[in-house]
Amino acid sequence: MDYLSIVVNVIEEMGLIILDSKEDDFNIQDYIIDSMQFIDFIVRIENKIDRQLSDDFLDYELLRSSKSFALKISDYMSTILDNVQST
Amino acid sequence: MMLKKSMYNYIHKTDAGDMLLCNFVKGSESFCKILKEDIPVFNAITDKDVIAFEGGNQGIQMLHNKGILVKSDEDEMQKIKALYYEDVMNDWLSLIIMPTEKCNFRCKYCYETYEKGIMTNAQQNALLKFIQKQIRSIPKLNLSWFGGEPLLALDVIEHIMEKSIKICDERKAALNSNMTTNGYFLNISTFDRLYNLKVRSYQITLDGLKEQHNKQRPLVNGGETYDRILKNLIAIRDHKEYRFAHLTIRINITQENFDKLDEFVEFYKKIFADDQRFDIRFAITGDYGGNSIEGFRKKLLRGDQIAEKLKKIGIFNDIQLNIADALLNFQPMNKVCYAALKHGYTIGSDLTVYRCSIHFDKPQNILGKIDDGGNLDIDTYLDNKWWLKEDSIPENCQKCFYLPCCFRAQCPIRMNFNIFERTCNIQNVKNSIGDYLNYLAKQLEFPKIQFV
Repeated sequence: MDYLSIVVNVIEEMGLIILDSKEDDFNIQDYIIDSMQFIDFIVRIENKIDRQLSDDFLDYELLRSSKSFALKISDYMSTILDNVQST
Repeated sequence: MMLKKSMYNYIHKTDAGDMLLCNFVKGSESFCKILKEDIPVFNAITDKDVIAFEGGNQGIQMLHNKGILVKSDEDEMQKIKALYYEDVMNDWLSLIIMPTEKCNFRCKYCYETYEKGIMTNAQQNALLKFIQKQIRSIPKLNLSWFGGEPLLALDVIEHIMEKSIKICDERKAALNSNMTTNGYFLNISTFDRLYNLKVRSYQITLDGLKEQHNKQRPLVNGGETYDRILKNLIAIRDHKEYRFAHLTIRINITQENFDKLDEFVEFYKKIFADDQRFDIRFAITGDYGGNSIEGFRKKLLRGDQIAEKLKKIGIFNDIQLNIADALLNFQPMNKVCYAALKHGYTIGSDLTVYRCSIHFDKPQNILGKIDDGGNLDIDTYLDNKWWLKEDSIPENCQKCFYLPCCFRAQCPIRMNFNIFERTCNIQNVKNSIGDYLNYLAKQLEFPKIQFV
């Protein structure tokens, strides 16, 4: 799954215009600027991946890099899938 | 009810002997007139310090409704202060943007240095990020394009307007845009592109007829500019489909064009006066520093000389002439400078944040920068000094009928900092206010006040 596209889509669905190149790494904090938006952003991501993200995603600092954030989701999802398979 | 005269009334006697009245706290809604035969009654009523009013007299009631008479215990200063803060804390993000600081003209009185070039892509995006962040809490956006010559950076303007329209659409935010341009590149195709991007109000300068204009506003290489600007303006005039366009033709009056001002006014009338999208602004040419003004300073004129000339050539009697700001001059806080707006900034082409669009060299005007992430990285203490009114209002200003229009904020750099002498720089408007009232009375219906 392309988690970077999900991140980009969610930002755009929130009514924000992405002014950086979407393929390049960008700072999501340039768009998600307060706690209300941050919660909305996380909930929308959760809805897209159909999974609740762990509490360590609730760190605003993670938004500094779109690619790192997408990678963290990817890692998290892999862990979940591994756990499901091992049980 | 006990009433008193407002301190902020203006009364003008017409040639016919009638009185035109205005109250500057209420603005143009206070316009009214008293016929010659009713003036003695009006004087008898208003000569008293306190007027007892129990109802019945429609004239007194109307004067009260129009703010000419106010309740005797009313603190008018508090009301004016509230009007000021309402005005400067409005919900518009007002940005004067310089997409480039270069210019193809070298006007004789220009204060600019033309050093900084076109805004880069990264800077444009940072500016847009700033707009997008701000628009969440300030729901209206006003973009004023300035320079240098903004049309040297048409691509920048188009990019920022396109994205700003999207940002504002997503947020359901209002968006207005205007431009101060020399008009040289404003051909109909450029005008059309900008009109569709919501840039619809323009100020373009014609400094008199061809000969005077070309002397005062040449190209960098000394070449003429008049014919091309006029051709552009006429093309816009002839395209009536741009219904919401608004063009102000500005003339900076100096000794160069002073003697032929009447001919210029006639020329303007012939070319533009039938088109209500156009109006004319007569401007005093100031000395705002810079290198260009050296050698031209002797050509500058005092405001009273210009006001006298304008009166002499009869502009205030000519309703065919659509004088810019004639009505605006009567609105409360109309003379409060854009640099005093809480959410009003001038953005340089390198994203330096200023307030005033003139005194770029003054440290008090250099607030900081917009950073790469679109954050406003400014000295907030300095920023607040531009709009907070900490000083008390001097007695002469408290008594001035025009205080509700300026609240000593007509030039914050002059009034809030110790750089310039804190003198009133709108004396000329005040001196001409009766003429403006007379001019408007020829076009608008001033209700008659009768004391029955």
